Amino acid sequence: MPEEKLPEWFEKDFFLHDKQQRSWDELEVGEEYETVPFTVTAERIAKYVEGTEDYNPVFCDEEAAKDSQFGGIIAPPTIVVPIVFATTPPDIWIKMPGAINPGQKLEFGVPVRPGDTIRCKARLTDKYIKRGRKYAMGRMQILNQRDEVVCVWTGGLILPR
Amino acid sequence: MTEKLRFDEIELDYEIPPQSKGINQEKITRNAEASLDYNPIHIDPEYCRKINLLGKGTTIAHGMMTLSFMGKIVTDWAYPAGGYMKSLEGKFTAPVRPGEEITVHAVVTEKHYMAKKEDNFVVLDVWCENQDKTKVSVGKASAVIPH
Repeated sequence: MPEEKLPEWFEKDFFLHDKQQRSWDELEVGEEYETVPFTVTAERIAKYVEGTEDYNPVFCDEEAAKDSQFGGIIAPPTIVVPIVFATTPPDIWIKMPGAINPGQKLEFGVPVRPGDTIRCKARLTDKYIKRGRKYAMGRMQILNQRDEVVCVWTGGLILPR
Repeated sequence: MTEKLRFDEIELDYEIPPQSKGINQEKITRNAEASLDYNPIHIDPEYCRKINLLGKGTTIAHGMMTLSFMGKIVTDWAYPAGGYMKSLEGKFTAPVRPGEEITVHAVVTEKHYMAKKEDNFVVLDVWCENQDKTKVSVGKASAVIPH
């Protein structure tokens, strides 16, 4: 079973890369980025299950999952969120300290399974001001190692500057 | 063996039994570890006090923690039926703070009859309220119910 490997620049200290962040004004609609491929281990799935308190048998019981329509353990569908977050470079706007999440949409394809390698192609699709707040919106296509679509994620953040 | 839920049995306006959970800083921090999102607005009370985050200066739970709760009520219902969740969207309308309790609701609002029965799906309004009945998130989900 492949091991999880976070990118070498992964950092828990949000502020470390704050100075590398561009302001809302500097972001350009249409700009794109890709995430570092990330292997999802059984341990990461278990941690996510625990963090979200979602102990559905197909996420954590091998026997039950084998008998299910999925044929084996799958990750909770929303696991794509932490994967994308962890593998997005630290100077990208979604990592700005103080950014607030106004809402997101996830359209799911194939499930994530232990051992899958996930990557994301992202594009900034819009930026706007509403009620005095600055919004940046993106579209992310999340793929596995077989180039199957795991999720299409659209949404954005309210940026603090 | 319990019979699987059938698409034809589902009525519009059917409400899945709500689920509730208490929120505290320990859970928020554990979710930060699980989701690798260490934004200080979730885990640094001093930072939140300093910037008077959202006017109250407390940490707030990850919006995605609420969204995953919204997904949970749908997958808890759809998976035993042999189905799966097709989509989930949520808008976060009020912050969730340590010490609060949130309850997730889901109501069937649409039934989509597809060319192949195994592709039939429902759309649900999904929302979370806190203990004061303030909506903290509103959204929609869709789920395939194949039998």
